[in-house]
Amino acid sequence: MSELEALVEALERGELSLEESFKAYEKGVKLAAQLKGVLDQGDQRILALTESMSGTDITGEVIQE
Amino acid sequence: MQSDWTLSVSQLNEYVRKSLAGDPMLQHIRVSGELSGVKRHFSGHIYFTLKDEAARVQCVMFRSAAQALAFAPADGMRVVVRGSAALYAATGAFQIYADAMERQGVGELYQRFEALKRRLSEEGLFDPALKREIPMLPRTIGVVTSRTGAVLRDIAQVARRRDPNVRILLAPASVQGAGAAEEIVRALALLNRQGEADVILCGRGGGSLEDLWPFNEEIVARAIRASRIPVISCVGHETDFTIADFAADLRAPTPSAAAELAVPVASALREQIDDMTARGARAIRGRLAFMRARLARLADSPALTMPRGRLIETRLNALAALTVRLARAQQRTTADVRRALDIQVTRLRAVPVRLVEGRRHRMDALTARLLTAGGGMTSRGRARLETLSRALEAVNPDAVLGRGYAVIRRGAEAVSSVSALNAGDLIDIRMRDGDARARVLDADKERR
Repeated sequence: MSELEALVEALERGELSLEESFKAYEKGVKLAAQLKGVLDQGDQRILALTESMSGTDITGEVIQE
Repeated sequence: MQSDWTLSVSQLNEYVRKSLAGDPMLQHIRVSGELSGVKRHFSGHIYFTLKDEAARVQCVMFRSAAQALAFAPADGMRVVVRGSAALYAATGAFQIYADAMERQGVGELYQRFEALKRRLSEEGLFDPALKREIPMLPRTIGVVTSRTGAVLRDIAQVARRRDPNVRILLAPASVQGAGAAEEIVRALALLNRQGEADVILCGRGGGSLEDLWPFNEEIVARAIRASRIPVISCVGHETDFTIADFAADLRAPTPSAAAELAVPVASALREQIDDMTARGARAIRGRLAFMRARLARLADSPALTMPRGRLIETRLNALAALTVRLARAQQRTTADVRRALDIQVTRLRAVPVRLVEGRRHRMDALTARLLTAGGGMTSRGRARLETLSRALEAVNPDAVLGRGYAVIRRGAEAVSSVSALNAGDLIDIRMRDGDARARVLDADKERR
């Protein structure tokens, strides 16, 4: 997120050459898509973790809301 | 001695109540202990628990006694209570009925709290440098709290509201009573082993110092500090501070606040990302426009266009100058000729006699000259010349003579007025084709 911010600010300051500007913009677009992808994936359940007796298995049990 | 008789609850309670009431030892007792769970009822009665390390007992102090108190009872205070102990038959509750209460030094639990806090602080366990950053965008949050109760529900509600997709993993643990501290420690370890949580929320709802005590235990503080995953503590109410709060990476006043600190609002983040994308696009477009403008300016600059322009301009200027000179030259020619003509015409008008004396050739020569001069002039100049020539012809003396007029001379002078003539004068008469001599008989001067 902060990387995206830094890219946009560099573009706005206009310090980059035309070639660099294009590269930065492309990178920014990719980052934005990645971030949004992260936001979109997820899980609506609540899982209660319990350990097996031996302590090696951890299972998640769905709790109903 | 076993009884087969089945009692009702009322009977049982009443029996015990009576038993206790009959014990003189219980009618006037002084008990020391630590206050816990002090609650002042709106009726004015105070309900509280008196406890030591191994046991506790419920107490009530009615309003009349409470009003007489010299201090405000609070959790953790060490006190001595005077009153009686009895069973309240309706509820089966054994409790102390307090008539009076005195303070006795600082509460032991608080002492222990202060001592531990000091020791761990000196050890550096609470050092701000050790605190980790809470991740900005957690995909999974771990929760250490009791499986039942409002804490998990509040956390889940707030988290889901801000980001519907955030995953919640619960590691359940008792949050009060004996063994709770160990359970909390195990729960923290479990979440760390499972490894998927990006942040852990650890806490419980409000309660007395005693209720919150597990979060003041040394093992809990160390487990929080040792957690690989950042921990946000949320124990009790706004004003409750436990050792777990000092050890955590971040303290939240309530479980809901903890969820707010942990989970960013997804929609706002999405907007921010979109906004930044738009800003980037605008910046790129601006840059392109700037470049294009620069290019255009360079193409139009004098450096590239000047030679051609200058040439044309120079030529235009030269052309203009020539035109002006030409025009002026033309004007000068016409004016000069006119002036010359005017001079000559005046002279001719003034002295007709000279012409009569035979200088016709001069006029001819002049006319010829004029005509020659006029040959190079504009048509207007020429027209003017024609007019002047005709005028000249009109005053030509020969033409006048030709029309029948005569020129009178007396001696050398031409005479144009009769006043100049007297009777007996000898005069010369020049006519078109010759001269005649005559003597004036008389001059009639009064005719006109």
